[in-house]
Amino acid sequence: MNKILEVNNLTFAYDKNLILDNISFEINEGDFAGIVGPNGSGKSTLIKLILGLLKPVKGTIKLLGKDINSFNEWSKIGYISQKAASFNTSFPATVEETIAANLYPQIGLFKRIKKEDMKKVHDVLKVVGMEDYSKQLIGNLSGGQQQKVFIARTLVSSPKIMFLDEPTVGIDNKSQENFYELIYKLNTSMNISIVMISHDIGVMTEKANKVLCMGNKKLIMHTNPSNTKITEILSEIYGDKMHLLLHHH
Amino acid sequence: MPEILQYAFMQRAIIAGIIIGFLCPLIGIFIVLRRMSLIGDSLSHVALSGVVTGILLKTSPLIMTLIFSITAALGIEKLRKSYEKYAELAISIIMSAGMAIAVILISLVKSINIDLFGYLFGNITTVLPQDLWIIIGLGIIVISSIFLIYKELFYMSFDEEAASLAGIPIKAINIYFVILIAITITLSMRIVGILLISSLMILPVASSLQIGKSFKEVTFLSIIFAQISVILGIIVSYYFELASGGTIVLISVIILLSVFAFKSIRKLKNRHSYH
Repeated sequence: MNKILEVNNLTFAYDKNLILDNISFEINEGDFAGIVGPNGSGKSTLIKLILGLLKPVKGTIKLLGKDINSFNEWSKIGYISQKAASFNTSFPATVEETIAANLYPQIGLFKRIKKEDMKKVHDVLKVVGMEDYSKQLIGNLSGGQQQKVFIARTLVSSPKIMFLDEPTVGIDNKSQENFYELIYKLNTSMNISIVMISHDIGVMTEKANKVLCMGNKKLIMHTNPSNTKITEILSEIYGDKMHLLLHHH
Repeated sequence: MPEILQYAFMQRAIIAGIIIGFLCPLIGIFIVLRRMSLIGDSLSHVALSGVVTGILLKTSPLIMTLIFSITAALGIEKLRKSYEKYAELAISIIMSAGMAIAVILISLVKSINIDLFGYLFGNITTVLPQDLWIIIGLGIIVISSIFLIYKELFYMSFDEEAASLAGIPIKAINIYFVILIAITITLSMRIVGILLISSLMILPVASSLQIGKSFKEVTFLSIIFAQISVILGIIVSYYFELASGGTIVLISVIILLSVFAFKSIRKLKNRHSYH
């Protein structure tokens, strides 16, 4: 199986404050990996390191087989941050303008967007079920719809792997369910590897084939963990008094 | 030919005005959306010290201003890295330095030069033939530059982190963009005046943001509003012997108020038809 992401002996510190201590794991093609752990355990930091937004103190990261320092195929990497949902809602961009933006680096500097690029935009809008909203201003949509548009923006450049950092913050329950279904569909039918930070343990046990547990500066990866195993792990990292309540998405 | 167009200085003023009517909103839309409104004020304060230096050294104030404002624009970009969490501080530091230098230089010019007032408040009679050629040449460069990096500036304005991850060269475009702002301020000061340039960058955009239904539409409307303000402003200031900068900006304000009024009437009508 193709390795999409390889993290080896990664250590990171903000000044002298150690955040991640010598962690290693791999993500293969088609994996659905969930990252869980208490606030401040370094989940977002880990994703930022993988995306090259932060520099590690020690260790190596390989994306699609290439070292992060020489990696340049960023169009194949999708990222949806916590901030995606808190953008400037009065920005005067339509849904299709927002999505087309992610094609700009591929189109290149000084060149104009073509008809076939706009076809790609409308194709991904269909995938996320937002084809009727292409001319709407993004700020006029609901939180759940906006998040779908951000997924479409990532999809338009045909990513191999998508990183999602708590993507359902501020979205109602019904929209969350639709959102997770969509992500699962992208994983299973389009073979896009998913790495998602979430506090929704139900989704992790139901959809993910790998669970990366973070706490005490360490990371432990579990492949296809059972519910009982997950409960044990989470009790360890969140504290003894934690009980797992599963709900289905 | 109407009387106003029979004079060579008016022909120059109108040609320069049309170019500025493109430049200011095209730059302004990205300044507003990236919440950098203060940068226009900052660079125009520096422009003032460039003008006075030009007058003192008896060289072209336009060229001196260009040198001063581009240096200041690069200074803002450099300082911004030192104050990552307080981006507006870099703009304020350069504004203070620019104003301080300008005040000292003005005190060196023993009598207040009448030409200085023209630069401060805008004067349509002062666009010299050589100025017009510089405005046309550099104006075309700035307008085409904006069109060439329009889509990258759009993505950066909407989501700088995502744009960076997608592979857009953020740093290079940021530096290029502040240089374009500096050039626009230099080219606009003869017509609009140093004190009011940033208003012409912001007001047409503020009006179009109220009614535009896409980024393209907002850009198009901003240019239309700016062109109306500049051309009408030049004509009115000619017939009533007013400072062109103030007249242009006042017309921009009237357009903004009209847009608000139009929106309110439409809202009332919609409510009425709903009932």
